[in-house]
Amino acid sequence: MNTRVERLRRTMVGVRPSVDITRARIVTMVHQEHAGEPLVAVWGHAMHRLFGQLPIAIAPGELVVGSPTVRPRAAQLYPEVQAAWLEAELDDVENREWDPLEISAGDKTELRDSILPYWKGRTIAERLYLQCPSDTAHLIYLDPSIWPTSSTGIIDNYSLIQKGIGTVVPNYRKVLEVGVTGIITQLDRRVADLDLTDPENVSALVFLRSARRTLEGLLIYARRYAQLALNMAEQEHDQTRRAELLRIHEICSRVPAQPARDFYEAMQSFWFTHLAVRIEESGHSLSPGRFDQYMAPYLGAMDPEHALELIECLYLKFSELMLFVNKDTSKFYTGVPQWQNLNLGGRCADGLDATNALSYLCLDAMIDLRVVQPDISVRIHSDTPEDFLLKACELSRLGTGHPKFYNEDLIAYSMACKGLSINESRDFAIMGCVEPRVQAKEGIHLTGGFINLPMALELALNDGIWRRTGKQVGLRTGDPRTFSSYEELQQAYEAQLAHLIHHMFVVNAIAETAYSELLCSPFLSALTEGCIESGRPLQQGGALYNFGPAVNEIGVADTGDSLAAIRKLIFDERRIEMCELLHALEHDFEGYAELRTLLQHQVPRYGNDDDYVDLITRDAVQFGNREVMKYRNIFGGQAQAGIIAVTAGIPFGAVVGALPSGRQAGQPLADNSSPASGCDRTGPTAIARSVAKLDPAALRNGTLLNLRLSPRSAADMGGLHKIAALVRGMWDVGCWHVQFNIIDTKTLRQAQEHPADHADLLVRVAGYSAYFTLLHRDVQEDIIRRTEHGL
Amino acid sequence: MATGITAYVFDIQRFSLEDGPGLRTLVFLKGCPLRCAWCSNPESQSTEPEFMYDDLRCTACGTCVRACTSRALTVASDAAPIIQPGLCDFCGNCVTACPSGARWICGRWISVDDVVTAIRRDVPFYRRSAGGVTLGGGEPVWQPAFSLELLSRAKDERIDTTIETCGYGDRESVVPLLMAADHVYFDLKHADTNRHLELTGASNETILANLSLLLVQHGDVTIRYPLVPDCNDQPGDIAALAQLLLGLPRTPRVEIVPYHRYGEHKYRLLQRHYPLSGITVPGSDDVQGVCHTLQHHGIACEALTL
Repeated sequence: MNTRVERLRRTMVGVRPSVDITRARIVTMVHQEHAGEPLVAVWGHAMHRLFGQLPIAIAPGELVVGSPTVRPRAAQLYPEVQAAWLEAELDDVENREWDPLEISAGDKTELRDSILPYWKGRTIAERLYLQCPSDTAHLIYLDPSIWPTSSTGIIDNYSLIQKGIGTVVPNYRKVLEVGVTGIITQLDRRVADLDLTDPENVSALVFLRSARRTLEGLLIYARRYAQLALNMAEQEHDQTRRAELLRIHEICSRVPAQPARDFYEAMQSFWFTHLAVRIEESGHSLSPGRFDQYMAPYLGAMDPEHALELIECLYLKFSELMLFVNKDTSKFYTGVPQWQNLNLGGRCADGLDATNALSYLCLDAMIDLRVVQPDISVRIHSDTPEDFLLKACELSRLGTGHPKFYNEDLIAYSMACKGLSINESRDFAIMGCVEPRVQAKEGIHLTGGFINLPMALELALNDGIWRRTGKQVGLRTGDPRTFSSYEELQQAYEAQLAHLIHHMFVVNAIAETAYSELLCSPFLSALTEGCIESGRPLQQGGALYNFGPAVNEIGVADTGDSLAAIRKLIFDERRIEMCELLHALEHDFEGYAELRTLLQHQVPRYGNDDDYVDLITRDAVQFGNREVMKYRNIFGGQAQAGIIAVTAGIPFGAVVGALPSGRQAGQPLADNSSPASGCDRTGPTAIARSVAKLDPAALRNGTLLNLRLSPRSAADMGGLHKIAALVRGMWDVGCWHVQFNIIDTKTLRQAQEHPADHADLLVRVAGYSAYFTLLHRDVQEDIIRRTEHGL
Repeated sequence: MATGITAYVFDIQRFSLEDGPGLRTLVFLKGCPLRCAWCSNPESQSTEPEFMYDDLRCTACGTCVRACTSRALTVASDAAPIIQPGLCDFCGNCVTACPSGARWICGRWISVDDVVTAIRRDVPFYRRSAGGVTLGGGEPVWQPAFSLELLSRAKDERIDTTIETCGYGDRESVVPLLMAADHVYFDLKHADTNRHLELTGASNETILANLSLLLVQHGDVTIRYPLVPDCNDQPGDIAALAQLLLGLPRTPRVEIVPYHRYGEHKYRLLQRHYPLSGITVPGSDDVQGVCHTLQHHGIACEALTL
């Protein structure tokens, strides 16, 4: 990176995250002033006011401008979704365990006294709390009599209800191509065509006007930046910087109002669009999608050095953004991730390879910069150029977690199964973690959720009683000691799981209704195909497609391993009795050390390409998938399941008692679709096979896999070729996604301290292999030294 | 015992990265004619089944003793169970009974069909990486009928093949077998016949004769030289190695495999004494020095990293 980027990066990384209440203040004021008007109109006014009044700044050296807050890495507040928990958590914000944020005492007082009171009773969380039937309430709230509530960790969609809307890929291409004025023209034509004697068109008129007001607001916002740049230029003594500021002035005077004409204009237009959606929407996973596709036409003959500098400046803007989530949610999503997923490569809608010069530059920029955001995703198919894949592997080797690799053709196939055309299916965009969306045409998923699979098993083994609290939260599926076959146990598990999923969708139905009544997004709606045409915003089902919600299954490996242990040791081999197992689980294996080791060592484990346990695991997951797909959202779209836990395995694990896999009570559940920790003994290709057996194509929301690699396997060019081949092979067998964690010194140190959790760490050298944790301490030290030296 | 041609195998390892090109599955055959002091797979040497026993995992619960139908196991309180040689028939009851997985048997008979089935699991990864299957050990040459059959079956399925061998054995079985593999890694332990005998328990005369024959016929042979301090790393040892290589019908490329101690713990598991304890791992300068010496003689040489 050059010295400018270096300086910008240093400034950004050094800033402590904080909270900025300006947005909350303005939004609240507008809501009070326009009380009584339709919600969509109020939000039009609010956005217009925000664009006109949010303080703006251009940092020294910046080339791409625009920030939601003057201080970098400050989280805006979204009282419309956050108010329900904000007050209770305000005191603790600076000191909480996960992701603390700075906030001034004055701001806290203003929030308490003037802002939060307005929102009392106006949030989705409160609606849900009031409307939730008692049996459902006992499954989502730890104690339904206490407000504010805390989560059970059995079923959950807190993270979505309390954070609001994101999970979307807006139509950036449209802004680049026709400009905001072009969209305004489209809106005006649509209004002119409305037959206003038809009562149905009244709300359309209100929406279209409101959308227009937000777009006008954005034009004002850009003009303010243009003016600021001009003012700064006049006072700037450095001639080079002065010229840059004048250029920024010219660019902000042109875009996003008009179509972009070159790469610099396109970058600034893109960023204004992204920023504007960020200012409107509170949620995570607001994703650029296929950035290299809609941006490439503007690259032209631009000097690659300059293009790279602009991309790096843009990446730093992504990294500046911050989200404020509540305490419960911060446990699910630690490290303030945002999942602004930027896709590279893949296929065009017509099926040809889409990898272009910009795809490579975008990888180079992250290799250079190594920042957390945006999330870099590469879409790999059989015709992906090898040098592109190798460059992606090179980025992987740096150990930043970038990029994520996606199986282009498998995902397109999964999309086509939703009934989309082949062209739309190929032109999907990955949003958030691994979720595919129809680019710019698909609405937000209003809700979603997480389902705790091992909890369904715990309930099946305990006649519906939650071990931790002794409460009857599940169905009465009978005393497992009376089960005469594995199939009876499996049926009990399925009944409990179906029950949990049913209640998840009770929650979703209430929450979706509340969404449509309490929230509106006129700006984002204007950037989603279908809304202008139908005259309805997203929250009224205006988008062309409304799939979802997405429900994720958590604790896959723990469930499969546990079911396999029961089947093998109790029913197949009759080595232990059900009642003995139940006693051991009840006592968290206290006094049952032998039984626990038997469960851990004499049963095949998911993740080793062993069909016995892998197919049991698949059945456990696919039953949940089929159940989820029985439900529809309020707009009629079909729900979909996936295996995306993020870090939910930690809070979900905390509430599950001991499991037949030998896992003790409260321990974290296995990561996403990975084997339980320490349980894969057969290496990455076997893990890939096991994951593929789960049938990812049928899990339409995606299947996330983190795979650990030793640094020496990617040490040289030959190593990179092998990683590339591993990715291609994983696609051949049917995986959806993979992301590599390069094993670092920290991991090896942890393995020394907790050998059982790291029993799978293989040491591979020529003609030999063994497990790290079995080695002598000083030999381990030797390996750690080599790891530190980047082998 | 499985029917058809079978082999005595102690491990099948997927995702092997340094035993031939690409991603490979490595079949470890059990049984080796040599007894190298530095052997990192000591469980590969004997053609008999062997117990590996991890005293750190063992909880001295006595379950294995109760499970043993041959009364071969005895245990004093809180101490490691002891196996009476001669009484044990390796039925494996004690292994499956052990709740903590502290005991396992190295070595099982496995048919060519079953090995082929295991290899097939990773075919997509071989195809993408130009990888395949590698026969190692132990010593594949020690079980020639099986090895030859497996290579032929792999060839039928267009799976690339590699053999890692010490080259010791009858010319009539060694050379045709090695000719059937796409790539050969041929170990040389020491150039001097007497030193070779001391270090490995066998003379190198047969090995060198086989190597010469092989080099005349096979185009892809790599020499692997384990560089072991105090055993074969002295300037004189390396000079002798260079002379030997230059005297062959064709000078093959060489890979230096630096001695490592990753196998030491296996001696503990086998309840055997580690013959090289106290030897330090060669530094990278020493390893590079050896490479340079051989390169100076015009021999293509590189070092494997640890």
